[in-house]
Amino acid sequence: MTPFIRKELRSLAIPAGLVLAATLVGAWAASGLVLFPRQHSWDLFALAWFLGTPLVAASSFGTEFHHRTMTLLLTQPVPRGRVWMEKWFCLVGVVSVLAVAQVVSVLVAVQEPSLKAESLWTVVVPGFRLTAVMFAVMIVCSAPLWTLLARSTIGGFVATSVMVMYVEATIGFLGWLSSRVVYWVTGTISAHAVFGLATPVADGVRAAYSLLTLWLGWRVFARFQTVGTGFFDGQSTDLTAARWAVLRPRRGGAIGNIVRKELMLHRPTFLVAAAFVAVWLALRLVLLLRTAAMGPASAADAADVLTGLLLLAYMPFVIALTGIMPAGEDCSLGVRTWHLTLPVSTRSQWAIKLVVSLVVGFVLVLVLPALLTATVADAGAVFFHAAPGDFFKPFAVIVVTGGIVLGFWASALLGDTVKAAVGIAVVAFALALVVLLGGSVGDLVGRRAHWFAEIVTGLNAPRGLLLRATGLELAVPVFITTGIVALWQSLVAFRQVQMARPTAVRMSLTLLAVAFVTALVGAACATAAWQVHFNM
Amino acid sequence: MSPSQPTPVIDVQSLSYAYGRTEAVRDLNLAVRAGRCHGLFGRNGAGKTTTMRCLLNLLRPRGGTVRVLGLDPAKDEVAIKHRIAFVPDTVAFYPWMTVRETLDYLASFRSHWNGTIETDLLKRFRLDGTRKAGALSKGQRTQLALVAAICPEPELLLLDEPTSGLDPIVRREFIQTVIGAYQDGDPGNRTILVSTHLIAEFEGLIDEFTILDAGRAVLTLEADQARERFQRIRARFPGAAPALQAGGALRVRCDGRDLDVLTAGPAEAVLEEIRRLAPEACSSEALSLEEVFVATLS
Repeated sequence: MTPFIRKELRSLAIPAGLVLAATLVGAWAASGLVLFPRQHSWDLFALAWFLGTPLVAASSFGTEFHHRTMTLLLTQPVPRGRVWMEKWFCLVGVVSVLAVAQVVSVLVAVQEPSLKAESLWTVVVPGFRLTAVMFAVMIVCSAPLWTLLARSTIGGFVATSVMVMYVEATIGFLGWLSSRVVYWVTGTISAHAVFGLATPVADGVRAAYSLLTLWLGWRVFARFQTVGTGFFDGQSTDLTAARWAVLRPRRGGAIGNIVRKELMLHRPTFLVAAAFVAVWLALRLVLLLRTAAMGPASAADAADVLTGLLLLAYMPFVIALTGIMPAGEDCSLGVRTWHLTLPVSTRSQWAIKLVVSLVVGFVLVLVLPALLTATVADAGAVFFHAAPGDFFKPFAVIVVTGGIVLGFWASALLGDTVKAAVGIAVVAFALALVVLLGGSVGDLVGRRAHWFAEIVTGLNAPRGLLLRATGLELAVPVFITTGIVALWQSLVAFRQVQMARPTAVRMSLTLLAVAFVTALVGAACATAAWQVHFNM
Repeated sequence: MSPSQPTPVIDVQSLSYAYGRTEAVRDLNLAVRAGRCHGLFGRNGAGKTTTMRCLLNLLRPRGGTVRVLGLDPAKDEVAIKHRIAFVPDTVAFYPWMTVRETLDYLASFRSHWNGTIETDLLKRFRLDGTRKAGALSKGQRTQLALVAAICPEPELLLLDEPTSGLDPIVRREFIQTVIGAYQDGDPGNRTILVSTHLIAEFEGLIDEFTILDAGRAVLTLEADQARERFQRIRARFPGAAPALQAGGALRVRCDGRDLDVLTAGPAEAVLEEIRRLAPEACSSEALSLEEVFVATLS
């Protein structure tokens, strides 16, 4: 193994490790050994795969931009063709390992009796072919192109994901069109007559997209110039150079200027949301056409796809982005130090950043999805039920707030957008594990300690609380306690321009300890109360 | 410091700071009087930037006390920042803002902003107000940062490697004209703390300096005193230069008939010693601050 390949594999190791961890946690959750609704293991598999694979693929070239090593790489006495091939084959190798892990985990999970329902089996297995093969092929082939054009990991990740969704929307539209042509010619209705989502012709389109983007990626790399700026730098494209006049700074009004500046820092988040809404509406149109051809059963499928995209792809990503961007981009741009020397207190700057992030987050992650969901709420989705009102329930608001605060915390601690993105993923999984562990231990404590049950009963807990807690129910108290601790820690970190690694590790461990204790106590109380209520 | 002396603009006592286990600043004492230009010299990693960051409350010291303009940076953060301006070693701005918008943005935080100086400096540095900050070169970004630091006419100007990336013409103009004019605007009240490697460029501007090494102050001196104390003596002999055993010599170098001696104290005794050896020619001259820096650290 050459040093270059070792370096390449090392740079992919962290995002790939995250995807692998999420997959294994999904399999663990499916095993029923932990206090976690088993059906949510599918959510973890989907999250890991649909968010993780593009992230891994974008990291291949993205790390060179992030560490500013592209110039160094291109000035080495190695042909660009060789650099490209070695990078790409490393990527293919890593994604192949992840695909195998995903397939094995899902196959293990579906052996569980509770998950072996016919509907799941029939949905999951055909989906395998699409997800584990074609999705991976499209991502691996197209990510280098989009990352080289975006000149950043996050930009490449977003562009790769969005373009794959566009391809799927196009295939769906062509499928509908072909079925209409067949109907006009033969007089019979068949949604997948020539060009359905799972036909060889559709796979051919996916393969063509993959080959085209792979070739274009190589062309871009072969002619790559280390000048200019990235997609999100505000001057490289017509899209980002658009006039955001209302957000231009003015000579007076310091606080107003900071708020405008913060909104400008969120511009990538707005662009991501706009791109997603465009894709979502395109898919909605395509699926509407399919439903018109195939009837109500297809409408439920469509609602599942669209709501699943919202809940599993859009919301987690935008929550993280909203939390990470304000502090992370200040550091990545290198303006944090001098901005803290301006005559506005550090605490005020921190508070403005946080409030703007929360407002942007609520608009993009609660209001916008609620509006989109309103169009598919009555379709009778099988797996993903979400009514517009669900987005404003306390649970959703607390989870979204907690997610944004954790993203903010990660960027304040790590001081860099990409590091914070990886950091928040690591912490999110660590939190999930800690909550599952704490919840499981708490459940055991609650079952065995009768004295504890008596204490809980003595508290006269409301009837609504007399239920055994699940992992998701524990999420509420955990998000509240960890959110408060994360807020305090983010203020401490924000004050320092350079956080020492031991301090960051200590803060992270404190956060996890708080989550563990909260989950333990919460689960123990809930289980004890449940036992007392049902006289067990 | 006696009670009759005015409070220093910067008063640092026993300052310590460490990044994890790496000590960046150790037991540092520093006092800068009003109206002075104080140089902070040191090798890379000597602790200059860390000291500046502690002054700005960007880092919380592990030990010691820091007073800026008589105030505690941790407690009176905003009050201090209203009266100072800072130019960091690596200058960056929001790439989507133009030069004009960047100055508008920074001016909005200040109660006072001298528009005449702004116009003058923009013209002098040939900075286009409509150009995006993201499209500026490194030197132009530094120029913009300097404009933004000078225009509020602060009482204290903190400059961390301010001339890195500037071309020689702009560098000379900045040091001799801009900084000079800034101090002349209110003599005796405008103070500068500058950390730099380009000591020769600031030679005529610096009133006093501190040399840092491994986080410690190894020498603090008035520039004029340094020139008096640090001397170079050159002598030429008819034959090979003899070995010299002089107590006050920092360094003695023999090169054929030439003898080169650096002194860090009264040079008369060394001069007398050399003259006793009957040289053909003998002369002494004051060291430049850069030579003092090199001599001190080597």
